[in-house]
Amino acid sequence: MNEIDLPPETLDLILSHLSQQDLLQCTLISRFWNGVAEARLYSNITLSRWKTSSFRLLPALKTRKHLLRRFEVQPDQQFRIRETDLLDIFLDYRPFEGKHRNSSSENSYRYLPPSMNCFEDDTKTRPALPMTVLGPNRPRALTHFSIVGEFESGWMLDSIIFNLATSTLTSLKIEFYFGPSYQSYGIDLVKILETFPYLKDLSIGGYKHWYKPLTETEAGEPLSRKSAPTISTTISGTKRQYRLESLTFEPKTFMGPRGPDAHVFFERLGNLKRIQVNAALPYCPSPQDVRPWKLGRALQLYCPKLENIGVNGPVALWFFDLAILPYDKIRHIVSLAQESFPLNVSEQLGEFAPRLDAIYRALRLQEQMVDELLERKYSEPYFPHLTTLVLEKNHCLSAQDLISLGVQAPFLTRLEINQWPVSDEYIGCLYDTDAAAATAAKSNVRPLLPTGISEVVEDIRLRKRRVFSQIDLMIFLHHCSSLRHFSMTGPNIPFQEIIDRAFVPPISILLPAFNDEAAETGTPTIRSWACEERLETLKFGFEVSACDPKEHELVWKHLGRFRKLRSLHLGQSDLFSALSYGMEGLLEGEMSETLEEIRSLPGWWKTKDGRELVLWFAWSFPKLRVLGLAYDKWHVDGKRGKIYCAFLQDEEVKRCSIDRVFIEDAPVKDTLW
Amino acid sequence: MTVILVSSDNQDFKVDKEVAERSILIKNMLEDVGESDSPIPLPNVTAAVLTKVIEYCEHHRNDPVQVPEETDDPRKRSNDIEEWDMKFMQVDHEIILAANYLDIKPLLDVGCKTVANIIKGKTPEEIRKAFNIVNDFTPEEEAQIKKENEWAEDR
Repeated sequence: MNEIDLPPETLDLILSHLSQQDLLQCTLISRFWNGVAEARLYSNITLSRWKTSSFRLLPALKTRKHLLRRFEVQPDQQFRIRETDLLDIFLDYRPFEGKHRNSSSENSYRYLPPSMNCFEDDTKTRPALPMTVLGPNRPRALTHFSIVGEFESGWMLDSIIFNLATSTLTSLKIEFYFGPSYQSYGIDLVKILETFPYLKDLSIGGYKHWYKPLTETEAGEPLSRKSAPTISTTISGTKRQYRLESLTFEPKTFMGPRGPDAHVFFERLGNLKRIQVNAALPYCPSPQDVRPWKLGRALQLYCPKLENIGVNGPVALWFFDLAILPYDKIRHIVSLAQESFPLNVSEQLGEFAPRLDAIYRALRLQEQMVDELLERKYSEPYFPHLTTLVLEKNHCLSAQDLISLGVQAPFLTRLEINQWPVSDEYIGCLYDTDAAAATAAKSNVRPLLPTGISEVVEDIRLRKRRVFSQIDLMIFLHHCSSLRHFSMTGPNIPFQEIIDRAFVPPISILLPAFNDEAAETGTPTIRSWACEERLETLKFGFEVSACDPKEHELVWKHLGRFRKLRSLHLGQSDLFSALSYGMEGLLEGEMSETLEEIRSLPGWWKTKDGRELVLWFAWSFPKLRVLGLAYDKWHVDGKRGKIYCAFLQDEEVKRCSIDRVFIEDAPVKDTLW
Repeated sequence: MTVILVSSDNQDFKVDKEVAERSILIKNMLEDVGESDSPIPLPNVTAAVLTKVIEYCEHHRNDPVQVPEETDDPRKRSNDIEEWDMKFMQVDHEIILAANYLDIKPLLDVGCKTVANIIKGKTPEEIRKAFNIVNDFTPEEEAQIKKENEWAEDR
C-alpha cells in the first residue's frame, strides 16, 4: 500500500497524533513527508530555560522561520537570548558583513537607524526599518507571539513587534518581570491595535511596564492614516471598532488619575467578550488614586458583549453602580436610625445599653440596605450579560456587588471565589467621589442624628462598599438561580450560616442568650439554594459539629437536592462520610444519574470501613468515575496509614465501576476565619 | 428511506439515508438536491472501499454527532480507538482517502490514528518500508536535515 498519494492536509492530520520524537523521524522519510513534518515541528515553538532544546533550536529557526505559527519566548537569568538572534528570526535582519560580525549585542543596535527607537519616538509614525535591514524571509503566518520574562530593551521589542511581517497575528502576550533591564517598557496600546487588525487576544502583564497615555485625537483618529489598515466593521455614528475579544491588563492604568482614560480606550473595544484584570503587585491605594466606578462605567458603556471577567490581586472592580443618595431619598433610613432600642432589653442591659444601642441600630440599617439591594433599588448592573466571574487571590468583591449579582445577573453561570476578599479598610473607604460631588451640590440639609449612628447613615448614603461575609454569600446563593458552576475555596462555612433561621432579631446576634427561645422552638432546616436545578459542579467546605449527627444528615440531604450535579468537591469539609451520619441523603434527588466525580470526600475519621464506603459509592452512583478521599497526611504516611489505605488494594475495590479511587492529602485547615 | 450510491467502477449500493448521511458530503448533496431517487455518483471511491465505508457507517449509525475536542497531549489521543474500529481499520488505508473525500470525520480520525500508531517508535527506514515510500533524499541532504532538526530529540 502506497501512502504517497495522500494529500498533505491528510498526512498532517496523521502526524498530529505523533510526539516530537516521532515527528523528527518523519522529517527524514522523503521530501514530501519532510515538508509536512517540518511544518508541524516548527509551527509551535517555545524557547525557555525549561526546554533543554532551546539553544540548539536557535540556528535551525533561522532557516525555518517561515514555518512559525506560534512563538513563545521566556527570557530570564538562566536563559539569556541575544536580541540579535530574535531580530534575525523576526526581521530576517543580518549584521553587515565584515568587522562587526562578532560584535556583542550592545554594539549591534548601532546598525539600526535612530528612527527605530520607538521608545523615544513620538509615536506619530510607525517605525519603518530601511529595507537593507529587513530581509524577505520573515515569519509570514505567525498567529501567536508571546514574550514573558526579562527583556533588555523596550525599543528592540518594539522594533520586532511593529515590524513583524504578518497581519495574521491574532494573539499577542507581553509580560515583563524584574530583571536586568533598567527601564520599564512603555506600551502603546493604540499602536498595537492599529498594527494588528486581526488581533483577538491581547495580554499585558508583569511589573515592568507602563502605558503610554492616549489622547482623544490619537484614539479618535488612526495614528497614521496612510498605514492604518482599514477595518470593515465600521459602524456609522460610532468610532471604528477593533476586533479584540480578550484583554488582560493592569487596572491602575484606567483607574488612576494618570495614564490613559478608560473611556478613550474602551470606546473602540466594542467586541470585547473577556477581560482579565490583574494587579501584579499589591499596592496600597488611596481613594484619590483608585476610581473603580470609572472602569466599570466605561465597560458598561462601550463593551456590551462582555461576558467573562477574571480578577486577580487587589483590584477594585465594581459590578454595580450604586447611586449616591441625597438626604431626602434616605428618610426611611434616617427614621430607622432614630428608632429607639427595645425597652425591655435596655432594662436588662443596664450600663451597657448605650453602646449596644448603637450596634443594634447599625445592624438594622445594614439589613435595610440588603433588602434594598434585593429589591434592586438604586443599583444598576455594569455588565448585564455576565456569564463567568472568577476571583483569584486578594480580590475585593464587596457584599453589595455579591448580593446584587445574586438578583441582577440573569446569565451568570460560573462563579469562582478562590479566597476571601482583602481587608475591609481598603474596600470600605471607596465610594464614587465623582457622583458624590455632583449630589452634594444639589443636596439638602444633613439631618441631625445621634452620635455613632450619623457616620453609619452617611456611609449608607454614600453607598460605601464593605467586604462580604458568610451571611452575604448565603444570601447570594439563596437568590442566584442561573449558576451551573460554583466554587468557593477558603475557610469552611459553619453550619449555623447555612441553616434557615426563622426571623431572628439582630439583637440575638449580639446577645445569644436572647436566641435560646427561638432555637428551641423548631428544628433547623437548610434553606434551599436557588441553583439546585442547574448546578453541575460545586466546590464548597461545610463546617459541622462532630457530635451532632443531625447536622451531617441535613448537609448530605442538602447536597442530594442538586439534581444535575456532575462534580462535587467538598473542600475542607468536616462531614462524616457514613451512613449513620445520613450520607444516604445524597440519593435524595436524581443526582445518582449524573454524578461523575467526587473530590476531597472526608475520610479521616477512624471508625469507618473504606472498602464498604467505596463499594457503596460505586453501587449508588453508576456514572461515578473518580473518587478522591481526603485523608490526614499523618494517617497516610504514619504507621497507621497502612491500615487506613489497605482497602485500596482490595480486589473488589479494584474491580468496581469507579475508574480511579485515590487518597488526596487532606488540605491544611484554613484557620484565618 | 434509501439512497443509491454509485462507486467509481459503476456498482450500485442501496443504503439507508440515515447511514449515508454519516458522510457530510452526501448529506449536503441530498440537502441540495432535495427529494430525489436519482443515484449519487462517487467517482473517487471504488466498490471495494465503499463496501468497507458503508460497513463502518452501518456500525456507527446511532452514534451521536461528534463534537471535535482538542486534547492537549497528542500522544494520548491515538490510543483511544474502539476495539471494533481497530479490527476494521486493519484492512485498508485507502479508507482514509475515502473518508476524507466523503467527509466522514470520525472515520477519518480513526484512520489517521491507526496510521499514526504504525509510525510510532519506528525509524525512517522502517516507516518507508511500512508504506512503500521511496527515499528521494541524497545522503548529504539527509545528514543536513538530521543536523538541523536534532534539537527535537530533546523534550
